[in-house]
Amino acid sequence: MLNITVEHEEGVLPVAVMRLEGELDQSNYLDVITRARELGEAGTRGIVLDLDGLTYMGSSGIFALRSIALVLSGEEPPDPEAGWGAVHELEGRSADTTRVKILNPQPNVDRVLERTGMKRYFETFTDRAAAVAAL
Amino acid sequence: MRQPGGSSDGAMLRIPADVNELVRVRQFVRDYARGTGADPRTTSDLVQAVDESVCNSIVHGYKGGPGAVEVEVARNGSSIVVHLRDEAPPFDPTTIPPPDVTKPLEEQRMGGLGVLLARELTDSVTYRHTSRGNELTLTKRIGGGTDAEHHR
Repeated sequence: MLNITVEHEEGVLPVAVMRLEGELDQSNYLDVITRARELGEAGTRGIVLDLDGLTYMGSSGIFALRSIALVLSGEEPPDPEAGWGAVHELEGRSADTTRVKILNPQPNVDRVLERTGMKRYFETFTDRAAAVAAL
Repeated sequence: MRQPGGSSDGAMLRIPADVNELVRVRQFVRDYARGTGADPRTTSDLVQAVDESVCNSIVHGYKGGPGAVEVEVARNGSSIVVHLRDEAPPFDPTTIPPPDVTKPLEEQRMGGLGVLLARELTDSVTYRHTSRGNELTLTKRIGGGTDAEHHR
């Protein structure tokens, strides 16, 4: 089960802190993308993903992460109706990964980010204010 | 359905091929690993590897169609052995080349991350095709770490 909550922050850019609590897997990763897409359409230009309460993230979470970066870059994210076929739409597409910051991933989630190479592209923070300020 | 497995110290879970069942698979493996005294990292690594593999079976093996996946866990000396069985078309994930995560992001292949994680977080992943279907076996030392980490 995954709970998604959003708080908006005032700053130079419209920023949102999206908190994920529970477990992120193949059954709910599209919900994260949908929520980010809504935020992007409403004008959000940067997202801090607060993962402090996320106890598990499957590799589908990596797809969600990259999709969020695309959304905030003004790109159309992969079509959720295409399901996992949309995975390959991400290949060859660039996104501004600086528009997404990661906050307090738990050790196992951090290992997934590390082993999939995502920490090279998505900056990780332990302080919320610093993460927001970095956007 | 949860029932005693083939080993005196094992257990088995059989789930429908539905991604909404993955949470049960994770908890099943988590509970078993903790019961063996495995440390948190070993437990979380094994849970991740099994989840990724079962997910692949459901999504790519059965392609969203009906079916079932069996998850059998047992202790073998100082290791936990997990057998994953399905009746999907033959597919050997050990032949899938892992994506190169050192490439620029836009050049990285998105598929294969689950296989990558299963390989990196366990001590071995082996596959065989049986008369019933696919069987993937994951082995994880209870003492923690992986062969890859021990050799770094």
